[in-house]
Amino acid sequence: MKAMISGHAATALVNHGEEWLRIDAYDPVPMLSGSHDYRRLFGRAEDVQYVEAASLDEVRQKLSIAVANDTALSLSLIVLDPDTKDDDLRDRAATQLSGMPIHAVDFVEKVLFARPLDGRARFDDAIRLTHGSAKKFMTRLRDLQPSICLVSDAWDAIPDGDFGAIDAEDLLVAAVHSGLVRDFVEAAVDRVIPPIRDEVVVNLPDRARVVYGRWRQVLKANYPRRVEPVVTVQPSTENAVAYAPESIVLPPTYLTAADPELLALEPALDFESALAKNVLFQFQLLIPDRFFFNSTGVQDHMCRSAPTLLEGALENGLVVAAFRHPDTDFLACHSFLREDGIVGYDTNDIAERLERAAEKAPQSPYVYWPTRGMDEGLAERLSILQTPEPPSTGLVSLDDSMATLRSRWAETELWRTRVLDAAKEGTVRQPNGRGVWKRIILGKLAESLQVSPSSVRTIRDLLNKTKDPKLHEALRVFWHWIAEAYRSNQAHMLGAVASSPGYNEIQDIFATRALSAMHGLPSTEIEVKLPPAVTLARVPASEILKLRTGPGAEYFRTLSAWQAAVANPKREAEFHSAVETYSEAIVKVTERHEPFAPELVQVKIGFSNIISGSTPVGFGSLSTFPTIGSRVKHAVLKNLPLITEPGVGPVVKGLRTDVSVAERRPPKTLV
Amino acid sequence: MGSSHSYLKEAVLSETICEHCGSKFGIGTACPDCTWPEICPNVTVAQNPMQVAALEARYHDARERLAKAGLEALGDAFEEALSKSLAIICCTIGDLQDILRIGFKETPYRLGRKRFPIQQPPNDTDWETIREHADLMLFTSKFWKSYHFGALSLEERGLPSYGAVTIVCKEKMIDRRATTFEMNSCKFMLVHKINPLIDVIPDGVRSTWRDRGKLCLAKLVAELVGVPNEKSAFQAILLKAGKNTADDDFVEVHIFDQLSVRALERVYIAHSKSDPPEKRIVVESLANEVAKYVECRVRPE
Repeated sequence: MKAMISGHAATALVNHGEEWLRIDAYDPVPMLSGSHDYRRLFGRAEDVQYVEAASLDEVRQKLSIAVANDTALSLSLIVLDPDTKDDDLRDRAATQLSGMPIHAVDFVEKVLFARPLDGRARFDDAIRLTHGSAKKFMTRLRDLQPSICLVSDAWDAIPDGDFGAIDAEDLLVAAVHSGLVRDFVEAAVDRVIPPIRDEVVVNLPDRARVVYGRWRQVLKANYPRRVEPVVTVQPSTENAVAYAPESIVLPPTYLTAADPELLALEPALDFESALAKNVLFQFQLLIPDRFFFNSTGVQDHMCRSAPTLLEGALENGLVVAAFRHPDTDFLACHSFLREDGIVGYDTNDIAERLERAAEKAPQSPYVYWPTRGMDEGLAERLSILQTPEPPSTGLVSLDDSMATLRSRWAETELWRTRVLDAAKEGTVRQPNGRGVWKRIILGKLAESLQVSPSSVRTIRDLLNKTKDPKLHEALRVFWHWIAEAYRSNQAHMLGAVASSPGYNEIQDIFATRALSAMHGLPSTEIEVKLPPAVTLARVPASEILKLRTGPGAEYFRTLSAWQAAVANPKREAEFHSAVETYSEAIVKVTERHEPFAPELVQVKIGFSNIISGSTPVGFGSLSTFPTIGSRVKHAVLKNLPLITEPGVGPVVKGLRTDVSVAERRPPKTLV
Repeated sequence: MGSSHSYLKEAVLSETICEHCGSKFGIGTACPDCTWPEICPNVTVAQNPMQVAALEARYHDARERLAKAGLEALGDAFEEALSKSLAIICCTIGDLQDILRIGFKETPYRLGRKRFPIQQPPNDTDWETIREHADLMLFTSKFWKSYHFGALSLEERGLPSYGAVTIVCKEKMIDRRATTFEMNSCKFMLVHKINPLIDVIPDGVRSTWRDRGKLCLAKLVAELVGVPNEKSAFQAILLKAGKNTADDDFVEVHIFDQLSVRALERVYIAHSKSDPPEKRIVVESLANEVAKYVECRVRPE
């Protein structure tokens, strides 16, 4: 049988075949009824539940629970109400409340934790007059009023726009009954705000996760953050200076290896190796929001036993997450991306794990995309591709390389010119469209190849439809340029250093140009032995992090010191020594886990270009350790100049840090 | 019932006085207690010349029938009694608490008694289709949820099957926005086999508040023949409480827009000796609160 139950109306309407019965909570005898009674019986009660029940007794039981909850709420309010003038009535209400079932008191607690009570509320009387679980509840209610205020204020601070078309109170009510509000209030005690549980939002619109995420974010901003030590291991005895991030400020490195598009274009790229190397050798890693959720590299990584290196790096403040929606955290960001169809539900768990890790970071690991300038910046950057001749760079100096570049330039002329123009036009016709959007470029590219844009979600789809090998290769290179322009623009706008794992002077044309521009600046060189990338990737996360925060601290300290005085040979020697010590420590730790033949790596740091006299095989973030031969030289560009444009600078913790173009600073390092 | 009445707090501060009922209220387009000068859709429909003409025709038929039977005086007395008839709303204690959603308890009651998402009835059971169709046909989709339902009564008693609370509406607060309908409008659809996709509600089965006597006479003329010229006898044919709500027979009152506590003349809360103590306390507290605004009596069932 089916039943409608309302504790508020103290009534159940039961349908069993053709028979309709009404059960009054206080009358054991069911009455005949009809479907037309629905509205009249329940009035406008908004607590109606539709349930399947095996018997009338089961309906009565469910009704009894609903009525007890409703009654307990009334009794609690009678006890607490300053306008209850009749002391005897208050006393009797308290006595009855004390005898109510636990579930009813629990229900009232959830409700009354949602908003602070009038300052005149008679807490003392309530505590004095009640006993048992009701007394405990009243005591908690009194003691937690400040937290309830915090949670309530945070709710009120959620921007109206976040709610979309949903009534704000509806979502608050849902949060009340799911226990989310109480979770938040109780979080004030230990100041660790729990993530939004899936069961809280399971029956709610997607927007609920966004709103609750924002609520949590506001709360986090309001609660004093629990400060944890940055260094979780003691620095080695050789390192006189402990890891002190506040004394070293280097721009983060954009973790290109997490880009799903690049991983799709270059299957040989290994995210795990890139992450390990970058954690060891880069000051911080900046990862754009969607990479966390739609990168196969990250997804596979998160399947490793927790905490993974990414989680550990987040906890230690070594990863910066760049989100497109202001004031979001991993959970809220994930909800937004899910709403936009960028990521799926299957990554909920990743969002929660990352959020838990971010919670432990010594300071907020979030930066937010600038509200304007990203798309315009991309359009500006892509205009380089629209010139009749390929860019002149000193790096593409070999005749055959230049010939290849010219050939690619000619093969892609239609795409570089008309397709990009059409994409720019198409973008500005979109609501809020400025500059150029990458997805519109992809659509126009598909159209130019007589492929339906709706059938193409990624460049891989388009490549799969392109059977001609020559066309396929031209398309692959062209998209490398687009994707590289997108990443380098994004890195630039977020104040990060672009990196190019698997650097190729033709397809990484923007990196080639950047390197060319830095030719002739001072640098320092040293050769060290390091484990092969694949071996390093298998070292446990905890060991990598110990290395990073232990001997790695000296590496960063001496690097920073040398950069401040590049002409000082003592600083340079100190740095060399630190690099050697750090490399030896890395080799030693890695050997404990797996035997390997170390590779000789030439590290060049400073301002000059890639290693002279040899073919550049690596570029950016120590991310391509070739495994061929035992003595291969590597060039790794590190910390390109941080140049931001007025009004579009990176946003860090809500503060915009504008740096004028005229303030072009010398690059920090070039490895 | 279930509208919010926070404006009662404003009344203390405001100097705006309703021209119709004298209530004081804050800034607004209509009086919160009697809704003046708002136009009430149900009244507009009842005043439609076609409706009025049809009701007049029924009424004249009834009067002629009484005249032929020599019962014109009885008809006059019935109409006279009906001119003083009351709109009675019976509801649950929870509904009455909603009317009093003010001050200290307003927010907790609102948050505690609401669920989101509000569950939808299972598709395979016709929980409310008839009621929805009836309300949509009567009031249109724009206003169908804006009505309170009551029963016409000559005494301060209504239909107990709808709940322990009996509310007597203050005439001045509803006379401009209330209309009457032949019977339980949902039952009307069933009895007259009205298909909401094809049919319309016939003219002449509803009236303005002022003409409620005409509607009642037109409906009840057959039963009136033979009853004594007594108010109690009139009440007996006007309002018949059946074994259940489907068996109830009455003239339905439709009241547009919100009902504030100031729109109530008197409130009765029925109690039973078998009520558990917690319910008695809730009722007692509720009665105390209602009594701050309007006379409230607790009476045995």
